[in-house]
Amino acid sequence: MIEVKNLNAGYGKRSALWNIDFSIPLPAFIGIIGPNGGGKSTLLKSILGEITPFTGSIQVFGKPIGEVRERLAYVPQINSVDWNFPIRVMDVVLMGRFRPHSWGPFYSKSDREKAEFYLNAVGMFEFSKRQVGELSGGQRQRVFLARALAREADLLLLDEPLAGVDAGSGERILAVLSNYQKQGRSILMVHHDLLTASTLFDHLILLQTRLVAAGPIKDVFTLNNLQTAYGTDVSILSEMIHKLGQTPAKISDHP
Amino acid sequence: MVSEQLFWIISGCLLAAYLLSLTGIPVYLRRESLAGDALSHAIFPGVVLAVWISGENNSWLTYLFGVLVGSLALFLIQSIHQKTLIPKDGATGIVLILFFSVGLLFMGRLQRSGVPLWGVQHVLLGKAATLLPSDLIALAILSVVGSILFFYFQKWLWLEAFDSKFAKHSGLPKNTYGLFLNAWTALVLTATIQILGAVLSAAMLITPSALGHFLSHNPKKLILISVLSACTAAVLAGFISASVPAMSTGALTVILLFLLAFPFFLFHPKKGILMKWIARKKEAGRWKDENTLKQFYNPANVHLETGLNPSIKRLLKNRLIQPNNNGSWELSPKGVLEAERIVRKHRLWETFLHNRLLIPQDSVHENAELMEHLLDDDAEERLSVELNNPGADPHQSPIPPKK
Amino acid sequence: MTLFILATAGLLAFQAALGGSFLVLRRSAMLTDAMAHSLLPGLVLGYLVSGSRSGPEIIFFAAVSSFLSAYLIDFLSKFAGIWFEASTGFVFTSLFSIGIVLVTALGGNVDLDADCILYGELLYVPFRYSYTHSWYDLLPLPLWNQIWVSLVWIVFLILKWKQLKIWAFDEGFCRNAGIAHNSLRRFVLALTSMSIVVGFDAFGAVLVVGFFILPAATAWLISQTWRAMLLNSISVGLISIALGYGFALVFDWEPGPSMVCLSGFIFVVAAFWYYTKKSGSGFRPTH
Repeated sequence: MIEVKNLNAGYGKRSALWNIDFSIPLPAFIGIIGPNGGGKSTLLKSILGEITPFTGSIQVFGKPIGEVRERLAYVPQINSVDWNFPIRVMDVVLMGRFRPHSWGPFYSKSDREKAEFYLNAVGMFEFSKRQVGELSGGQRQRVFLARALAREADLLLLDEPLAGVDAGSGERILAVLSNYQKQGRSILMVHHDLLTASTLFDHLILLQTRLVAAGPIKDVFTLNNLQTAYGTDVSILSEMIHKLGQTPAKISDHP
Repeated sequence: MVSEQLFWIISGCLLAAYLLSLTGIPVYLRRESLAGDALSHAIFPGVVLAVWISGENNSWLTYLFGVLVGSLALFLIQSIHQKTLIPKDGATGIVLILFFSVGLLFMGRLQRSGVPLWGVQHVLLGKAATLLPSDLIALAILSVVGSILFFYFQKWLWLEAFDSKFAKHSGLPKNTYGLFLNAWTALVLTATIQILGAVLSAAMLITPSALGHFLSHNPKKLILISVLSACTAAVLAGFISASVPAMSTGALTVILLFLLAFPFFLFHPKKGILMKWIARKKEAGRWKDENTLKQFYNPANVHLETGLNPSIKRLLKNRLIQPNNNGSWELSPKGVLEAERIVRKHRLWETFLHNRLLIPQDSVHENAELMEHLLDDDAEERLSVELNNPGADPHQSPIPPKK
Repeated sequence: MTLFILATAGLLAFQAALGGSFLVLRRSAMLTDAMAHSLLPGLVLGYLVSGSRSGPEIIFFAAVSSFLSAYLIDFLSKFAGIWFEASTGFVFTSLFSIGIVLVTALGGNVDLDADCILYGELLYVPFRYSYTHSWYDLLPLPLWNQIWVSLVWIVFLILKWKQLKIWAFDEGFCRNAGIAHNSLRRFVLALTSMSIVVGFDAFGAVLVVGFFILPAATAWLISQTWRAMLLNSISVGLISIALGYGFALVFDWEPGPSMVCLSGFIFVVAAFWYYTKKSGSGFRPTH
């Protein structure tokens, strides 16, 4: 269960999230959608504990986030790393197996096997010995995804994993995520594409600085909600939703 | 054969080189090489204070003050950098110069009050020749401790330096770790500047890792190259300085490292600056040659070269052009094939831009002038298939068929 | 005589404020430290060539050596892909070591006070003068040097004012605006090396670096416009000199370190002020 109560968060004095309240049962495949600047990344970072909210509380798996750190894994949108750093692909993925209390100098054999497994899952195994700077953007994203997967966390958080990624890599990433989720783990993902959002996730959080809606797809992905969030032309949205098999009449009945 | 004094000097330099190159690896990886340099200067006031208070120059007080002042300096660099708009290098320079000047002020006062500054002068340039056994013991202990720490925490090292945010998420105690690294580096530098002096210690902190990284991105090889090169230079310097009187062993070590590293930076077969330059020139030549071939191919082109320029010489050498009856050049059969290959790529690309990307036909030529050199045969093939093997480009010029 | 000292120092502060402002903004503050250390081999070579402890050869060789280090640092960083801070550390420490070895190798034959250099006094001691209070030794010659170099700075600034302003702010934009920022940078570095060498004469290398970095950094914190920043850094430099010299007389300190410490104190005050204000005053140039 992810439980967010009365969350207000932002940067400096600027608020990016207002009065966010929702709870979603886990395991689930949750998408965070909404217009740009709507606070999606902020929500992720608040859950991770990367930013301290002004007010409010967040509980994951029934505990405050500080206590469940090891059960979370994160793939940020942009990696602020130096691409000339002397590190190879396999070393990066192995980092996912790091535990602060393991003081041995090397990673264990099972760590290596797991790292290889997840690297293979994202289709980057033959790049094991390459230096990370030699990879394309999409390839790098896959490697960082493998690293997060290697943590075998119960909740995986991703910030627009498909942004700027080539179609091949993107498909691969989605397939891997789907598999991961099927193993009974949860994914919380900021996503930018409305069209695929409805088919990918089972739950949605629709944000526009305030919470527009949160819950199962059929409750959130309604014309009303989307209009509130995006404020766009109704007809385009209704056409889109119609295409997805929901009739306009049914939508506008929803509160 | 080896005199006892020489043995001490070589051991001292070797240990210092080993310790510094090892400690320098995390410093280098965290992009804090210049902070290391600042640290070596910033420790100075600490050492002066220790001498002032204790009256002797190599007491435990020196180490304590060195670590405290050094850690303070590094902390201030971070603070200035994070809390004001001054960037990292500016903050580093500010702390370096400030601490060092304070040290000079102290030293001036000491000189006035007649306190012997025997040990303090060494801080600036070091003097390996007056190495004491206690210095050697200190170095040896630090080397052993440092080796153990490095060995056991190598995972931490690479993780935190590469992606400190991920390290934090993974539970690595980032702040404690950083504080410890700073204190350790300050401790090591306090020990080594008494032998090598500030600048040379900084050199041994930075250069070995830079060389190691240049030669390899494999972490294990990087460590090996860094440490080995530093130690080799130190030992060699020791022997050389034995035969040459009054030679500063520390300075010689740094020069030997420089003589080792610099040629690599210039002449390394793949990464060396010279090789990269040659590769660029070759590539530029290829472009020029292809353009020359195209010139000859186009029958409407009356401004044909009659002289000899480097491009023509290359084409002659490769038998792509031959002299004709009018005193100028013409394409050889082989040259015709080559020229057609390039023209084909040019016109295919124009077609692609016009048909698929809907770019007006006036605008496609310039871009195609570049792409004709960049498309490889595989791309050419796929373009042709994608466009259904067109016969002519947007300007109605024929696209030469594939041969 | 005090007038000569203060005038020499004042002109150094003027040049250093200009050069320092550019370099600190362009994230090359530590280059000044590197350049100061790197003048050593040139100094020794100049001495060898000219046979005397003073003279234009020394200044020329030292300035070339200093400029060469900056050029090499940029060169290695750009073309060998070496991280900039590592390249800086590598180049200047190597050049400095070459200088040390040259000095010790010539130790016996030469009039150079090798001991003096080895014990580090070169770093803060004027090469030609004894350290303590020989300000009366200060011939007008160093002052003349300062005047010449200051004039060159002024001419450069007047000729290239507009381009310098853009370059200091936004190097990326320079390409669009057709400004040759590479050559601008080289010019600034060349002038800086001249200032460092000529200033080192009177104050020692390390203190010269202090004047390059501290007033400019202070000015950056308190200024809102480019022009203000330049004026402020000059002012801070001059104030530091006046106050520093006063303190040195009153408290019996060495004048050089005293001036730099004053400048540092002013910076600390400015930093505190900036931090408490924290409203984003002071403009931010891009990379």
